Amino acid sequence: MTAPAIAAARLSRRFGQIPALRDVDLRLERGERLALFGANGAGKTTLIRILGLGLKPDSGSLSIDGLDSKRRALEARARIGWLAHASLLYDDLTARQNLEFWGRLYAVEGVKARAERLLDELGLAGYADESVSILSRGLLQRLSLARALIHEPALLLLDEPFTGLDPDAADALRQRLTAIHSARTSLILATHRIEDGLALTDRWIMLTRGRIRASGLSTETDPRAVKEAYRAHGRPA
Amino acid sequence: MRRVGFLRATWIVAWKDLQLEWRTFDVLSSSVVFSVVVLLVFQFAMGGGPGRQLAAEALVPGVLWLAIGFSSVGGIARSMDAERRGDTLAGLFRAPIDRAAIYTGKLIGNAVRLALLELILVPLAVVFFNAAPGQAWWELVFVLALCSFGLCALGTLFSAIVSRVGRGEALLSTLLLPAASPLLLAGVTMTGALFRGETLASVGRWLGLATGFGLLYFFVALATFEFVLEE
Repeated sequence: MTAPAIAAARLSRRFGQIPALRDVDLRLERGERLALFGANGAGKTTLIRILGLGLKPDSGSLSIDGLDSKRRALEARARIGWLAHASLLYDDLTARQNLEFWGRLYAVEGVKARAERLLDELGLAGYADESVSILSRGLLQRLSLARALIHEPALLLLDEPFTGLDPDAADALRQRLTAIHSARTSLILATHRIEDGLALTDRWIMLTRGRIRASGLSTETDPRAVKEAYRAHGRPA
Repeated sequence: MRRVGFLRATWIVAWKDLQLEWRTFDVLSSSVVFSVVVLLVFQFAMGGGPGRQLAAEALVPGVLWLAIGFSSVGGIARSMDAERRGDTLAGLFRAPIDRAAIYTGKLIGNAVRLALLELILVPLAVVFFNAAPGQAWWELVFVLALCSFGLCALGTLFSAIVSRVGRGEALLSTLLLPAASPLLLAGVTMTGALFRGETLASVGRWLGLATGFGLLYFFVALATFEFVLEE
């Protein structure tokens, strides 16, 4: 039996006196895709940061791909790809140099060829030797996705990936996310775009005031029901 | 599963910083301009009277370390600023490497940039002030390397702290220059001794002080850097 991509139990985190996450249990099977909904301040980004091993929970346990996040942190980190609000790219390096740099840090074999292939697949081959600082928001987001995929992660965490994209760029990203889905890559997508969240995932959960308050299967859920849940569960604490 | 070891990760981070510098010359060019202006100002201030040579030997060590100290603040701050723009420090923090290697990599990047500045600055100072350390060039290189290492060791840690709290160069200079003053004073004293034709043994206490502070700053930074980066 294979270990789940994520097994989290009773994850909690406070910032000062404010509880951002409260006793969250989450299990994600390999290859499964999950949408994470919730109003601003509901705890989505905190949960993504904890699952991405960038933030330690105050309590609870977490394993990634069967690896305990405390005892085998380095191996667990190597399994995760992360697409965040920020690009995580160096403005003054070229697209290729950025990908090769991150690939080397993740011990990617044949990093030059891998970077070349990703640049090609994501339609960035023409910009490979351009400085990142001249790329448009849409191209930058594609390059960020390539960076997140450079080490072929088992788990891809996407935090509001559609922010700031025009409709064409959002369409392109949607197509890419559909294409990269495979039996090996699990995915968590934190977004306010309910239609996209449901279309790109297998199931969804909704966080409210740091707790999971609603969940369902994406294919069986009417977007209006999720919007209703947004309203019903109120604003963040 | 393959993993990047500490030394390799250090090298990857340092090489990336040098690539950034090579593509823009941002840090080095501004440091060189600032340092040359400092040398020029002091050279003009000394005038051309009969006591000029004595004044030069007394002033050059201070002028050199003033330029090195302030240039290092600007250089180290801008190096960390490059990490802040794309939040790449958060990306490094999540990479499957020993987090201390992020520190050592950035330290090497900062130290190489400062060494390049000194390579330009010291010959210029010799020409501008007509003062040289006699036969003690290797001793001067050693003093520059020792004190610059300590300066960068502390500066790299402080720049990460400043970056985490979202502040820039002004706060870094407020923190770094007072904390690094033992190194700067040791640098001035040892450089002065060499320019007067004395040996390093004559300022052995300062040599011990610079070595001690340099190592202290390095190991404290190495041990605490991960916690500084923690979100």
